[in-house]
Amino acid sequence: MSSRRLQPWIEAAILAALALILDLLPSIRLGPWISISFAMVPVFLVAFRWGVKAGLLSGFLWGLLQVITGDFYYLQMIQFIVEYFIAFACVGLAGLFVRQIQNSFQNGQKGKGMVYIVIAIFVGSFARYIWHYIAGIVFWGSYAPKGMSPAYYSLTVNGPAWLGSFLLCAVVILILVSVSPKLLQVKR
Amino acid sequence: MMNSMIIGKYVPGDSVIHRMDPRAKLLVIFIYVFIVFLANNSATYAILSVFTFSLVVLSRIPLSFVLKGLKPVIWIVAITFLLHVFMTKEGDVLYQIGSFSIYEGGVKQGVFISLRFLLLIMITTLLTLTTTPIEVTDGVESLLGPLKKVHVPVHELALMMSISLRFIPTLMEETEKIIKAQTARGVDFTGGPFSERIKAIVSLLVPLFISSFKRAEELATAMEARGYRGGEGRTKFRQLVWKWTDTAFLAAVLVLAVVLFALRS
Repeated sequence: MSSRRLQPWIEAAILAALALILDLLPSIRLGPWISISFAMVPVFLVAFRWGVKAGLLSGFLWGLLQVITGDFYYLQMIQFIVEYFIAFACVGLAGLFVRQIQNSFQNGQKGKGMVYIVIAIFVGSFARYIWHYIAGIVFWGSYAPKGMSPAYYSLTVNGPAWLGSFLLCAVVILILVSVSPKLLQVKR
Repeated sequence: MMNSMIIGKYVPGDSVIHRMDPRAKLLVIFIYVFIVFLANNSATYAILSVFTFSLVVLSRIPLSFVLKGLKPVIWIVAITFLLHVFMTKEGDVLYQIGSFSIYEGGVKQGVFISLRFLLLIMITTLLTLTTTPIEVTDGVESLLGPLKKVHVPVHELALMMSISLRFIPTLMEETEKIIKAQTARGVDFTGGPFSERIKAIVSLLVPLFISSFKRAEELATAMEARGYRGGEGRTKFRQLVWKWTDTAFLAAVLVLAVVLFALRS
């Protein structure tokens, strides 16, 4: 961390805290285990502003914060690491598209930028929920109702949660950047 | 809504557990989560429970606080218990209702698995009740120190961690303030059709993000102005001190591990 480039890391840290807080707001519930929330929005914004490294770090910190504040389910060491560190960090993969997004907005091609944003959110949220899906099969499989295969059980729990969060985050971010494009601008 | 937040979980106190070095606490818990899985009969579970409850007693934290930490998981525990009771078909039949029968092995299995889950949650709750998040961060940084040799940015991560923790209360207050301000303007955050809820969310997020980015920029400028240059050669305001009690607790958990290993069936 060189001193001139402190800002992305501090932003990643502060927005990770914000993600933790947004997760506490009343979310849209689809069932006892499934709720879709827009808590990933801050991590996506970090990724769209500073790129994949800052995004990964912000997501990782968000997972770590949940653990430190005691908001987690512990079954096994590996489940714990996968679901709280790897999965959350992977949200930051949305930052892979940072160049396309930044270029499109700087060149005034708002529509193109928005398409990239949706793709990036798809990638980031998918990368997170695929881990929850795998963990659902491997570690939570024994909790599946009898006669239901763990793979299908995990899909019924994680599928709607992923689709819901993806759509909600995409809609919220698209509205955010169209009412306030300033949110994507960074001083480099 | 925000009152249920767990960050205010820390209960100030001056017990042996409170005064423990955070590194010792983390090590004890790390070993504990591994040896919990050694227990597999009544004797080992009894010893494990006695050990855990002794820690709670030593911390001088009212039991009600610890139990409050268990509240969010009580449903999962209950469902796990019932699943095991109904699915396991081992041992003698204890009870029969129509075609349903409950076996001794099922009840035993159910009690053991739920107990293990509850003990795990209890010990981690005890950590957050007796240790401030900053202490946890310092402890983690110190324990992961050796990883610096393989270029893991341990110090940077710890710094970001403490920045995050520092800003949680501030941002929470700000979120509440904006929610109140927007509610006063007629925004409904709790219900309404989907499109209205999205609008409400956006009206909250725009000011929240703008101010967060501003805070980050100001903090970066302030740190640079004071010559922050990363972890190398930096001194600390809070020094961690390893005491003999820390060694004692570590020894106790190791003894527990040996006993569990000897008594398991």
